[in-house]
Amino acid sequence: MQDVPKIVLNRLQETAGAEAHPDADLLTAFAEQSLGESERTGVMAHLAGCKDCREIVTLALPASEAAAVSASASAARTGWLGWSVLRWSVALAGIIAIASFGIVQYRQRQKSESFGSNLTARNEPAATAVQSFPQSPAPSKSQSVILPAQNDKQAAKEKRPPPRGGWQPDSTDYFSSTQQAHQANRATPAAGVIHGAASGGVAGGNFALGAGSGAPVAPKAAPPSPSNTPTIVGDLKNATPEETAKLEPSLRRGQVAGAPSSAQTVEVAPQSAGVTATAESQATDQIIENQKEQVSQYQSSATLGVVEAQGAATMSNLELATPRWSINTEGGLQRSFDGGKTWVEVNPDLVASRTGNAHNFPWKKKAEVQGSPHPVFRAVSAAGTEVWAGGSAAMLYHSVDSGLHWARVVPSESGAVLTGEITSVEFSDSQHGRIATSASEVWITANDGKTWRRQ
Amino acid sequence: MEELALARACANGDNSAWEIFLTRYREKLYQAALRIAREDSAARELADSLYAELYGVSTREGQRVSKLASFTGRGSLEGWLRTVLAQEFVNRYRRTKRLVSLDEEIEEGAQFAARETEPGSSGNSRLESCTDAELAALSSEDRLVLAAYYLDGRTLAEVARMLGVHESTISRKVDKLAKSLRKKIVAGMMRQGVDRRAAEEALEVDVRDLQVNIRRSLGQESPGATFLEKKDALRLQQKIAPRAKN
Repeated sequence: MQDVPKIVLNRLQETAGAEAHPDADLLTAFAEQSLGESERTGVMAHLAGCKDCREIVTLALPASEAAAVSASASAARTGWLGWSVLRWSVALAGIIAIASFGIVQYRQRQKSESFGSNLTARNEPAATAVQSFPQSPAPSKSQSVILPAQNDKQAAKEKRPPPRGGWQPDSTDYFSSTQQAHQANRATPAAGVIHGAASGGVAGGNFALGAGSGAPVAPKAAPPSPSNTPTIVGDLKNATPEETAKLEPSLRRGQVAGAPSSAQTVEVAPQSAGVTATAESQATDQIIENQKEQVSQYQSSATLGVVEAQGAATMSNLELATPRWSINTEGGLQRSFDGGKTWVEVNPDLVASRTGNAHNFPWKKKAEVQGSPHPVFRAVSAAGTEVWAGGSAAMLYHSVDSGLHWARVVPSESGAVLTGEITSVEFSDSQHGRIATSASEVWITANDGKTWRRQ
Repeated sequence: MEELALARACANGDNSAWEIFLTRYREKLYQAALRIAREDSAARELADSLYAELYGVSTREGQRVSKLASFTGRGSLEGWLRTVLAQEFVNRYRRTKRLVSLDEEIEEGAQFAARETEPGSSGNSRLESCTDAELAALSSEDRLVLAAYYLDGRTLAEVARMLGVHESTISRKVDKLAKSLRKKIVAGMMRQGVDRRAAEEALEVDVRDLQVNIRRSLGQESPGATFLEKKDALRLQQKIAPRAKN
């Protein structure tokens, strides 16, 4: 260590503390580091010039002071370092925790997206498959049928590639044994169903007016319904609320984009063995009771076009989405829950019962379907959950729950019934409607089809 | 507060308080005395003399005078007792030692020189003034460190203990002060018109050292040694001495 010049030490020695020596209290407080800054400075100034006082302070230090001072100094240094390390450790731990939380959230989001993409990935063109209805343990239970998403014959005929996405039935789904089940781009509803007669309802929906040509109408993009949880279950009896809830996302994701076409035609034929479809369920009753709750506004047009039904009836138990409706070239009535990406044919004839003069809504009436072919529709009109569909042989069907249940309507007046093929159906509101037939007949109603009058 | 109350009670002659005081501090006081005096007999004597002063055997104007009455509680009672003990030791044994040393030195034929008068050299006056200025510019803590380390010959650890800092802190401070003081004094002398070389030489050599050396040379040195050799030998001796203490 470098020495200071001697002159410095000499001068330092001569600068004695002229002040009075600090008393024992002051020196003790100085030794114990308990003096204030100003007092400490004054004591140090005296000590710098007073050898005796320096000696006293040194002698008064306790024997453990050396260890305590060094320990405190090291502890202070360690503590300072420890605090610094702890501070940065806490900060680092916080950053790690936030990052971990973000990663977990990201993975969860990816999982949910992959779940949807997996469902979409299942919508791949598949070979024709024939599946049979599983043996139902109870014959009273309705059989759910899956609507094949694609008709290979149709596709071959139309030479259209199968659309992407869509539903794809799985082994748990039910198919008509007599029917060619076409798997194309449709996700299989978890409940395995959807279908005209017993299928779940969708409130409102977009639909197309079928013209005489029966050409399919490209559906317009429909605004997403706020509460779209369609219950697309073929039979509410078979489907639990959980399955119903599961069904909705699969339906949404599984449907392909694109206009309804013959390639997407879904044909369902009742099983020869006899498919008992029942429209009886508690949920159905509730749906029916709530069918008139919400007034829907819609635009209808006599020309071809997708009619967007605005508004959706809210069900007490089931939230139904607003589907779109269209008619394919085969005359099949189609419904889409995903804005036209995928279409499912609906066969109102499965559960509809023929009515007489009055418009009857035999919702609780069981109907047996015995291999009757689906009607050839020519026109459809939908407003909210209410759907009117008409076609050949004066067939007119009405549903108030977006196709969950149907009723056959036969307009008549004074014994005269509607004849010919219904070529157009127009409803300006929920009450007033107009039907035109190929026999140049025009029938109107002002009470939602309860009574009709021929113009 | 409790210690202050105990001290006040003892100062007032409360025997129960005194009993408590002895119970708590008797052994500690003896250990402190032993550490100060470094000898058992001296330590016991030191401690016993302090007990008497603490108890208040002396009276003033009819009232007992106890040293404990001067305890104000700014520090701990134990620390205060150690300080008082150290003061007593310094006062008693330093006086005794000086007296003893003086007698011993006289027997040994030591000559006691008169107070050295400061030389009236202009160079030294400029040096002294610059040195004083730089010392005055230092903080009290820096001056204390220099005094304790260089003048008292304390170790870095002892100085650190006194100030309640780490030894490395004192080491860095001493080294820094040694370097900076030299530079600042030379700079100050240069500002006063002194040549740099001359300033550095003046800083290295103290005229008073020459005077002391001459006296020593005349009284003790062998005739063969030249003045410069004696001066160099003494300077070397004095430089080595502080380092040996470290």
